[in-house]
Amino acid sequence: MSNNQGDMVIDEDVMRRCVGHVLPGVEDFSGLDTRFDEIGLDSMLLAELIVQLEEETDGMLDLHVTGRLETLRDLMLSLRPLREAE
Amino acid sequence: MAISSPLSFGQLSLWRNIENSSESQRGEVNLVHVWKVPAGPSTEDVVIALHSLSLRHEALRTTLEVQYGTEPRQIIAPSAVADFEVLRVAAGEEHLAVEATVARLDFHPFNILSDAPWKAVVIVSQGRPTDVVVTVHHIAADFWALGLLGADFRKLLKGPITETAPTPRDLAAEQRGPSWDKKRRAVRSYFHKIYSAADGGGGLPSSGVPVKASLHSGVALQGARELAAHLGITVPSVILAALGKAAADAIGVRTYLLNTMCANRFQSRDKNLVVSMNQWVPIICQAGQGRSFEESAQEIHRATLMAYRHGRYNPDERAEIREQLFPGGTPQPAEFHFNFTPNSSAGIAPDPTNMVRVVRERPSRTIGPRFMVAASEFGDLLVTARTMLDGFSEDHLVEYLTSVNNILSRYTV
Repeated sequence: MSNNQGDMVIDEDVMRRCVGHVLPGVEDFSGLDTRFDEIGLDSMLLAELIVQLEEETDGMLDLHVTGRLETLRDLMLSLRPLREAE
Repeated sequence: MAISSPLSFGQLSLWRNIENSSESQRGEVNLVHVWKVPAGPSTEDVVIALHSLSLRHEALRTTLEVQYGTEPRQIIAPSAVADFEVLRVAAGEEHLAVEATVARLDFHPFNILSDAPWKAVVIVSQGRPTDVVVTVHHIAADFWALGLLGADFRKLLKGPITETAPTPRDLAAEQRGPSWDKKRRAVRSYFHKIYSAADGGGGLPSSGVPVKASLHSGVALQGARELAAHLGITVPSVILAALGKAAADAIGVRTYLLNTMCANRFQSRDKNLVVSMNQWVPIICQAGQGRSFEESAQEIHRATLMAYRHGRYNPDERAEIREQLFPGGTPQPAEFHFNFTPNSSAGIAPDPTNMVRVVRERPSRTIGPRFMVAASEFGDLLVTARTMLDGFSEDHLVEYLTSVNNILSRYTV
């Protein structure tokens, strides 16, 4: 499973690399259904993870959440490329 | 030869916050810390380590050059600059000497246009250095950087550090260079969106007498934790929502900007940089509008998450956008400032039966925003609020803190 929108592609591999950057040693999390609190991702680290995903995808991202935001999958599916006008 | 460079956005933000401060306010933004000296090093070793620290981190030998009408620049001295003092005390008096030195250095009035932005006092007892009391002007370090300095000091006592430290001027060049074009455009767009949604009709009262009080409440922390777990959001987001709602109610505004402190330590280079990186980043909040407190807390959680990545910005550009939309002399939007400090007690269960206390305090600092609140978890929820608003008394502040407690404590099962 991945989130492909235009030039932006976020899949499990991208997520692993970025999580590993933010929380070294945690990149071997069990899967995208891993909850943030299971790996110690607090608000600041989540923000850091989004910044890292922006670096990895070479673009700016926006968050469109309609339901709960508790797992890496929720995060992956909530991200959209930020258009300049936004 | 000294090097001249633009300021990083964090340095410039700090300068803009203090540039109009009075002579008596000069020492208000210092950070003071005590480093224990392990057994072994001599007093000379400690002084050499402090000199090496100054050589290693440019922020410790940086002064500012300020000319009217232009952006200030940082001037980095080529050699170690510092003000070190050795204080010899009798055996058994080390602790008292440390306390007295902390009190003396806490408000040390640095002139950052001409002096090194830090000072250290080595406490020596029976010929052995026991402690170093260090005070650093906030423009040279934030709390994160203070931790880096302490770690480097301990390393330098053992020997030289071979890897070079990142520099604020490299960060400044990057932040103003082409690789940040997208980020800068996104931040400008973000501020434009935020201020466009703000309401100029509901600003804060003008400047008034500073008042300060604190709330200590186990039951509020318990409530915040239970609601956070129920909503699937973080405890700081719930607390932030309560602080914002109570502030809006206390001032009587419906739309307001809620500024949170962003540490901006995202990338590995930034994690090792000694300088002030903190910047206030706003989100827009609207009270009421048919939304429950729970829904507002969820919105604040998401908005804060995305706002943090806009935490590195040129403060002059933010001011320019605000000025365009809310020119001087016209009604201004209400802005509240909240800083949540996470700490290691997050896993400790609060005791909801603890007495809720609201303590009136004497404000010792008057620099900074007019409605500022700091919150942290220390077993209880500790909220310290300081306001400087015309007509907003100490009693109003106590009511505000009581309201924060009431909002959160009702979620305790």
